[in-house]
Amino acid sequence: MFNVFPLGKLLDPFIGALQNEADQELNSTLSTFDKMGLADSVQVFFDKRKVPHIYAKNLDDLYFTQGYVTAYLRLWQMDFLSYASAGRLSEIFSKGFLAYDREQRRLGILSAAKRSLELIEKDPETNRVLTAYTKGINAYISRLDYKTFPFEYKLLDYGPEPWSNLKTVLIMKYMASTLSGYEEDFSMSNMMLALGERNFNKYFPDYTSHITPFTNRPGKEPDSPLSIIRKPDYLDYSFLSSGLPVSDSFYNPRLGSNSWVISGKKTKSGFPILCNDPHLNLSLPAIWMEMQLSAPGMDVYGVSIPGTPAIIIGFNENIAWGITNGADDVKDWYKLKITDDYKKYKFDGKWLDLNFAVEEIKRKDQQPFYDTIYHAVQGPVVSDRRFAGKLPGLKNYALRWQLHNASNEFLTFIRLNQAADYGGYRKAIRSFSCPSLNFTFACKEDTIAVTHQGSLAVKELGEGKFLLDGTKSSFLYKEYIPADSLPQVINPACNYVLSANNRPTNASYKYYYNGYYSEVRAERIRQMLDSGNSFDLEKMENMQLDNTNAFAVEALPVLVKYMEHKDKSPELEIALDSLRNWKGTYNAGDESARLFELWWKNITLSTWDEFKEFPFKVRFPDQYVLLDLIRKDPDNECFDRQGTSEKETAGDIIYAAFITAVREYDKIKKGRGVKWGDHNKVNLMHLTKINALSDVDLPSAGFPEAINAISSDWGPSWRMIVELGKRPRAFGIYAGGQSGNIGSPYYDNFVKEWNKGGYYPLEFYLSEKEAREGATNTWQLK
Amino acid sequence: MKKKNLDSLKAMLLVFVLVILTRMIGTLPWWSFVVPVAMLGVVITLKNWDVACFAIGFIAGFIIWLGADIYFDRTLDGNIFNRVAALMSISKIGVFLISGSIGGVLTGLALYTGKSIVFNKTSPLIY
Repeated sequence: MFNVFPLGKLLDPFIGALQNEADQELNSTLSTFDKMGLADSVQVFFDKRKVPHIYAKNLDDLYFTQGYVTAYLRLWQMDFLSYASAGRLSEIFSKGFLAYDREQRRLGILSAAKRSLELIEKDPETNRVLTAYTKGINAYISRLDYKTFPFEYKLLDYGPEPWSNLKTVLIMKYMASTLSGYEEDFSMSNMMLALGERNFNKYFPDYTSHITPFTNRPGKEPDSPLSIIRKPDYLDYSFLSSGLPVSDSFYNPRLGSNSWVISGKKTKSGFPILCNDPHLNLSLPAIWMEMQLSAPGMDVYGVSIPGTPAIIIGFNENIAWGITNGADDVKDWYKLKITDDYKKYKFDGKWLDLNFAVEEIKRKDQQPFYDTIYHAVQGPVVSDRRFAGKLPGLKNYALRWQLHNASNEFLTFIRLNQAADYGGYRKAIRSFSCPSLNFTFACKEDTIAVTHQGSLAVKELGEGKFLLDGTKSSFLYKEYIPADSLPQVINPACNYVLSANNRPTNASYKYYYNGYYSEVRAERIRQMLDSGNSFDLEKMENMQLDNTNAFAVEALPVLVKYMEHKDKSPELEIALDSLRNWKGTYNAGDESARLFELWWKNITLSTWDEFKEFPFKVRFPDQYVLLDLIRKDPDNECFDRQGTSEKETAGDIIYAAFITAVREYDKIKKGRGVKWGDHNKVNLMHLTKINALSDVDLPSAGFPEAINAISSDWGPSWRMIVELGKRPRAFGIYAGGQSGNIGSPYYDNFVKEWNKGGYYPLEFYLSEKEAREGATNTWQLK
Repeated sequence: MKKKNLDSLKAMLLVFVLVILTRMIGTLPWWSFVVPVAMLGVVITLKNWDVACFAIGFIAGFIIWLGADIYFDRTLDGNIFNRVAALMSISKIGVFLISGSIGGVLTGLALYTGKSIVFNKTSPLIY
């Protein structure tokens, strides 16, 4: 990332890195900050984990102080994220980031943030909060000199710029892009052409019998007309012929979350319990920061995202809420017909002017770079004759992304923080547009709910699943699903609601929508919630830490049955026996999980071996689709291997895959070991990707398809369990620490506990007096 | 005590005082201590002190930097030099030594430069 850092300054003991060890204001009993321009004095009580509990006498002072405290703990992180979001990393790094910045600008994130800010500034409620928050951050920045700059500024040799409301919006857009950036229109278009309609619908159905919708349960049969996708008329090989490859999406489709709410009718205490664990990239400093915000009319605890005001996931005395990614496809590509000189493009039979804007990308130690970005009616042209970026195959395609639209997501959280009942929750989430999220909800009076909230376009069947024809206005979405018609449920008969990036409805839902849903975790949550009636906080912890892969539990007996009458060597018999005794768990010490993974991988590769011939990046069908084929259609042509004279069936594939898997497994066993923890190493990377500033190679339990969805660099970034009642009882933990200062003991002090599945009691104080008594140190701002 | 030793001791003590005083003024750039140290070098020439300027400056700067490194590392509760050491792929002691050397070289060069930029007519010319 960089070769040389300013050694003289950095290693100067008086002002350099060493001075970043001075966490004085987090350690001294009382710190006073005068002349802050506050209307009244504000008290900040830090508990022993250095969670700030902010007590203000009005909302302006509250958000000002939230900004101030957040900047004290996390300034570099939030500043860096705003640069990354805006496509400004070339201002920090002298080389290596121009292409990233161009891509980011061309994706339209900076311009979208500016549009959203214009909208937000027209809303007095939000503007007031953002402005106070910005002032608080700037009050902290104005105190800094080189000696007190966060370490990373010294390392990278630059300083913080003044904060602005735009930077706050950029961070929200960054989150929106992370959660809604994935799409696979190009590969799905190719798959439709390669497979034909019949097989495409068979292998890539929108609905299967394995969905766990939270509305319209129980599920309808998946052969409803809404689930049969027709090939769009315009979609043929000449339409697709760009001659250039499309690489994998650089967004992670598996970033998700779990959340469920159990009604008091199913809990030991008689009060509802809400659980949430959002699965995001695991980084240091962590994306979350805990705090309590208290002012007249508001008293809320939870996690915030540094750089944005309010609490994003949390609870107050009356309600608790959680969020999971809606996982909908809100991003589409339109193929344009553009003249060679990039002056005109064809639209509804007419040649329209192709607009353009010139973006200035400032560069460290170099002249600025000016990038011309073309815009069609659908959106920006990301790849063109001058820039291929990561999407060369999408040259001359316009991008239409819900993220581009002006929206105000902050208002949702500002209102949720103060909400006291279901009505307040509904009012709060209505304005949430992008990304689509599932908002789970519980209130003290035992109303539980979940809403699939976001701006979802009204689409024709299959629309948005494939690349779109940009020459016709008929492919532009004009309407959105009305808020009241979005998938939602309140107080269902089963006495719980759940959301785990699964399809929110079954095929009987009246609108077509598509996305990248995941059903395995939802199924496991459903099984566990159906199996009991007297849940308590301890059971919820065990559930969040559950390492069972529901798919493996379902698939294993099917696979093992195929092995029963096959010839098996003693080694194969032993291996099969170990799998028979395996419960589908991915605990750190489990040895069979790796064998199952290898077996299933080999089955998948052998079954879909004909896809290898395709000259484009393929996506394999969902694992449940393959399992259903094995169960119901073992003679299907997909099991016939390429290049053999025999006609193989599912049984042959499963047998051969097992032999290969056992061979691979034995090899690994002799090498680094086959315990799941030997393989599943978690890396909490610093945002600069420097190992020395990161916590790497942590052996861990968990699996992306288990509720405890841990992977090498993403997973349950925040685990929260809240039981409402006379006084909320809550537990939580995130992978990191409150401070972003690499020299601080609070930089990563939660990581060890998080990795072994521990929780901290969340100290939600009901009065300033309680907070004072629980404080290890106090700040007074005046 | 020999004149050379006495002059060296005086010079070193003065370097200590000048560097520490300059470093206490937070508004000055981090390298500003070289200016008063260089001026001391001028004084050394004008006063005709017998001092091996680079060596004395280096030792003084090295001691100040290293001493401050050890002081701040012990009194503050973090472990930032462990991270910096990992970043530079060397041991923590290595970081201390590099930091001390930076202080030493800068102070030594400053003192030597100050000494060399003026000419004292009263000092003996040795060719």
